[in-house]
Amino acid sequence: MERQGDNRRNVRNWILTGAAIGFAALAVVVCLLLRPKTGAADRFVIRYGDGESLTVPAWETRTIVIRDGKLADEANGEGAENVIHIENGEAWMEQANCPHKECVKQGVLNAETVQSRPLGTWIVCAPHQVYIEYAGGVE
Amino acid sequence: MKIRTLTRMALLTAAALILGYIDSLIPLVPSVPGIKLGLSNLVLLYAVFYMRPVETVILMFLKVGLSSLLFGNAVGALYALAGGVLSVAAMLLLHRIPHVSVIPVSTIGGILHIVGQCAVGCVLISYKPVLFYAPWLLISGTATGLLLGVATRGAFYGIERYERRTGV
Ligand SMILES: [Zn+2]
Repeated sequence: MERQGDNRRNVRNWILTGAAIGFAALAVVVCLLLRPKTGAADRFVIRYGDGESLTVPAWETRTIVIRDGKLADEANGEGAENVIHIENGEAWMEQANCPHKECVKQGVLNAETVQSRPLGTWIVCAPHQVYIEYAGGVE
Repeated sequence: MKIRTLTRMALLTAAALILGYIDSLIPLVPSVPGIKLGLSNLVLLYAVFYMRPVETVILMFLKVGLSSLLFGNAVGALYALAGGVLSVAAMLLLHRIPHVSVIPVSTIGGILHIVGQCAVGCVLISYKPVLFYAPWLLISGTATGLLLGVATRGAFYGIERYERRTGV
């Protein structure tokens, strides 16, 4: 009797664990199916502040400073600051003073890296809510 | 609240903060930011099984609030809160199933923690980066949840044997 009860408990726990793993696997597949196509694009869209955005052609050379959710003239390391650089069809977060600097570590966005980057066509600075998207002209 | 409970809560909060800090020092996949072992979840798992639901919920809020205050910022707190609320709610509900073990509770908690954070990402940013990032997080969240569950089951056996022996 005792053994049988033990087995039933084990089966219940296995089913719950299996269902959880199944759900996660399904969610992964759905994400992979739904995610946008990646490839060569022609512009970078920078989103910041309260829903503002700035579009820069990918082949322009430009450094953009965003401080406390607004465009700024130059970097001075004060407030919540991000420095974005765009050049030769590439963009990257050059500098940031967010807690873990994960946006800086996310590397370069270009036609090639977007194929394998964990964040695809995006660079995300979650704490400062500054985002760069490689967008447009994707075949 | 009894002094005994209060002391236990204080100890567990401190443990959660330290484990959370250690967690932030171990990058599981160096090229992918944000993938963590979720060590501080051990504390919440303990609370789900050995403390009252109210105490578990308070512990989760303390953990999220204090670690955001010490190591993060307001937006980070929002992500942590969504993950925390969803996973603790699920773990407390699952714990009501008779004879449920810590393994499914930990696995489901780990997955729902990711789901909560992805939902906040969809609202604050857009669903597009979430679709890219979610698979990485889901795979790591499931694996670490399962792993912590297996490790914790061993620890719980030890705790229960000790409690039986000493009659605490
Ligand atoms: Zn950043």
